[in-house]
Amino acid sequence: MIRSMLTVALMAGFVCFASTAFAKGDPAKGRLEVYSCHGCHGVTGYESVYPEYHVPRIAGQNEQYIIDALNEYKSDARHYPTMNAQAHSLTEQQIENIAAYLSSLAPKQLHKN
Amino acid sequence: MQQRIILVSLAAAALALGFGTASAKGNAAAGAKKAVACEACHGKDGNGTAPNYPALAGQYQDYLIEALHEYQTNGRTHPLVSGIHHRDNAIMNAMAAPLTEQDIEDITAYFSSLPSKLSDLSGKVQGSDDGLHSRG
Ligand code: HEC
Repeated sequence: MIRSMLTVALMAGFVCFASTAFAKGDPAKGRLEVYSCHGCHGVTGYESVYPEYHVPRIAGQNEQYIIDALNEYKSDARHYPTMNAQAHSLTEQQIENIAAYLSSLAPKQLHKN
Repeated sequence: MQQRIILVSLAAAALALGFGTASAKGNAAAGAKKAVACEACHGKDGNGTAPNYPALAGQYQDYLIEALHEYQTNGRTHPLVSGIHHRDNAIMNAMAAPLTEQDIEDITAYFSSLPSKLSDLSGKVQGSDDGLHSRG
């Protein structure tokens, strides 16, 4: 009972957190700041070594999700060693710039991957 | 009787052709039915109903499988996930918890097969020629 109440409270918290003010990143700056991401996210079909799976596609991803994901890596709520290292070195402003740039890459026409 | 068997195997072959190409694992047609619960947030088209929900359409299937395994792990050990990889989100932990391996393969086969706005970063960083840098 307490557990389920906790879960509900957590969910409510998440929804509030997720819907906080929309970020104002600068996509032109973000374009330069994704330079260090290219080695992994830039290579079509690139796979992480262990366990083996593709590095996710992040170009065109939704803006607030990218901000949340990078903040989760930054705070270690989400664990993946190289991404934690990347995110630790990013400022809040850089995260917003990167998210603005990456989300701006979504094409008008959907494609088949 | 014989005709029936031929019909059924033809249908199976057609299904395999139609959906088997996009992904190595799972059955996208079965996944489409199981994905109804996901659509409230991730959208009928798999592109997310709000900016805080990720687009899944056209994402790598093996990455989506890994993500669901990490949510299932939720701090515990999972036979398929290394302990150093872990994520924790109240909503997704709860959504992933009841899924079987078959469910995960089918659902991810479905989402990864949908028309996508996602791509890799290649050609989209500084120095590449997509126009943005000309604005300064
Ligand atoms: C050493 C390789 C590597 C580098 C460099 C790297 N990433 Fe990642 N990134 C990954 C991997 C692998 C994952 C998936 C990890 C997981 O399962 O949590 C990931 C996940 C992500 C995610 C979450 C995607 C999702 O769908 O949840 C985002 C956002 C991201 N990276 C952004 C970046 C940015 C921005 C940079 C540059 C500042 C960067 N990454 C640099 C390997 C890398």
